[in-house]
Order: sequence, then C-alpha cells, then structure tokens
Amino acid sequence: MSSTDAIAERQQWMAVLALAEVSELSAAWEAWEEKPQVERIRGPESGIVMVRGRIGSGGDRFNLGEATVVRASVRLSGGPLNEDAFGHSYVLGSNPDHAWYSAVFDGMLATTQLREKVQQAVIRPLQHAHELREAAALADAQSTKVDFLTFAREN
Amino acid sequence: MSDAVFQAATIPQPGFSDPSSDSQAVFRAILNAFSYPGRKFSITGPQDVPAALGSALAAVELTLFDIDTAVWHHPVLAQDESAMGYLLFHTGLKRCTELADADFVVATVDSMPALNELRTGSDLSPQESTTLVLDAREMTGAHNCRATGPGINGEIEFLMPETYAEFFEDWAANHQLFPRGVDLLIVDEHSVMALPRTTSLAIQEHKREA
Repeated sequence: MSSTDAIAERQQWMAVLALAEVSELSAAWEAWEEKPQVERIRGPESGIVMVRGRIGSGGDRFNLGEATVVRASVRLSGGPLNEDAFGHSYVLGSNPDHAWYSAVFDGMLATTQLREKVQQAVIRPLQHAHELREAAALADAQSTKVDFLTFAREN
Repeated sequence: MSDAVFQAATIPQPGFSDPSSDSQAVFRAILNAFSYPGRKFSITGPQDVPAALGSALAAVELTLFDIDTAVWHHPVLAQDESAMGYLLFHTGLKRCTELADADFVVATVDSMPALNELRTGSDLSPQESTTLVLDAREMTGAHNCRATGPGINGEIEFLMPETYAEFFEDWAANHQLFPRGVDLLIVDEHSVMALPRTTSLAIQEHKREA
C-alpha cells in the first residue's frame, strides 16, 4: 500500500473516532483487554481553528468562521505492543475525554500489530452506529417534507 | 502496510505539564532578567527533556518560540534529532541555517557567533534584532564583570561566561549602536540572566573555572 493510501486510511479512522459519541469510545476502551500504557505527550488541550470554505464549492477560499477544536497526542507502550506508538487526535468541540480516547485508538491503529483488531472491534461498529444516527436524522428530516401538489417542482 | 509510514523517528517527551502556568512563570523570569540586568532569576522546566537541551533551556525555548520565530541552533544541537524533534513538535519553530535570518540564536560558549554577524534591527524598528540565547551549562572559564546601565542600581557584579576573544570589544561596539543592537539571554542549569544592549560591561579580573 502506498503512503498516500495509508494516509487516506488513517484519515478515515480518525474521522470515525472524531464523529463517535464519547460514551461509545469510553465503552470500547473499557472493553479492550490488554491495554497499553498511555503517556500524555500533549494535551488534551483546546484551541481554535479557522474553518474555510470555497465559494460555490470550487472557487476562492473564504473564512467561514472559527471553531473550537480539542487535540491530544499520546505515547502508547507496553501491554500488547512490540514498540511504542504515537497517537494523535483533533476533534471538534471541547471535550478532553473525546480527544484522549481518539488519540489512544489512533495510536493502536497506527501499529501493524493491532490495526486489524481495532478496525474490527472498534472502528467498524462506531462507523455503523454513526451511519444509523445519520439515517435516523435524515428520515426525521424527510418526514417534514411538504408536497406542494399545485406547483411544479424540480424534484 | 509499513509502520514506517506512520511512526515518528522518535516520539518526543512531553512539554510543560501545565503549559499555561508554566510558560507564564518562565516568561516572567525572562522579563525580570531583562528588566534587572546582571541578576539571575530561577526557572523550572520539565524534568524529562532531551539531554542536549537540559531542563532550563528547554523551558526557555518552549516559552519563547512558536511558528512565527526563526531560530538558529548551534551545530551540535541542530544535528540532535531528539532535541530538534522535541522542539519542532512542541513549538513549531522555524529552523534557519543563516544567522542573518534568525530572530533567535541558540549557542554554547564555544559555538557563539560574533555579535557583529547578527541582525541589529533598524533605527525605526530596533526590536527586529536578533536575541542571542547562551547555553552556559558548560563554561570553559569566566570573567568577573561589573555591569552598569538602565535597570541596575549603580552597578552590579556577576560572573560572565568566557566566550570568544573579542567578545567585550564587540559588546562595547554593540552598546554604541543604540537603539539598534543585539540582546543576550544567558541560561544555565536553573536560571536565566539577561544583558540587554543598554548594559555596559567592564571586566574586573579574569577568573579561571576549575
């Protein structure tokens, strides 16, 4: 796998962790047998990022607004690991626990040793739960859609 | 998929345990040092740091440097992967190889560049000068010096680490450049001491350190 693919895969699991509920993450950590030791290298700490968009989704960049982000970087060692791992997280909002759990799982996923195991036991269920939440919200929104029978509509 | 794609060459040690308070305490000490030249002010840094930096110098760099500062490190430090990795992770500083580009120069007593190689600012913007940070943990000798000038009540005596032969001549020339000039921050194991460009130095006698 090329490094571009590897980075894309890491971005994907980081997104799943960031979009998960903190309660799901803490439950997954509790349930994890053979936990590595976790040392805080940086954070959890909150800060601000400037969120930018593109006009018309492809034009000039503009500043959409500031968002609070919380981040953490941890060192994982011992337990099931053959060598130390460096885990990172950046999560919208200000929940330090969310950043901490995300960084811990990111560190485990970054090792070839534990990647598949964490993908299977943690990431896929979290992703599925997220998809269910999204689907429920969509169905809810759809139920409020009004059909204007007297007007011609595009869709 | 290779771990090498993801793993840092070395995972850095943690920085300040309470970044907000700890960096403010160090900043306050540095501010005091520049306000009262020739006096030492103690600082505490994180205990677990790269050996090439040491606790006090690490604390100074963590406090003063960020993504907007261009820093020149002396060769031994610049080539130390552990130290550079640590500083880049925690501060995001800009590394520079040319003295002329540096906002800050970090040197030891034997790697200190001549003062006239450093940026002295301009008459309208004298603050755009280089600040020299001297790692004085390992001294080869020292001079008993008398300092006078703003911030000093009359005069003060202190031990100035021995650096290069023409240092005192260059310091006098630096003083004449006011408002332009460079400033010096001396960092040892546990403290900081500063010599702003407004301070005049006179050697009392030459003293050899064992």
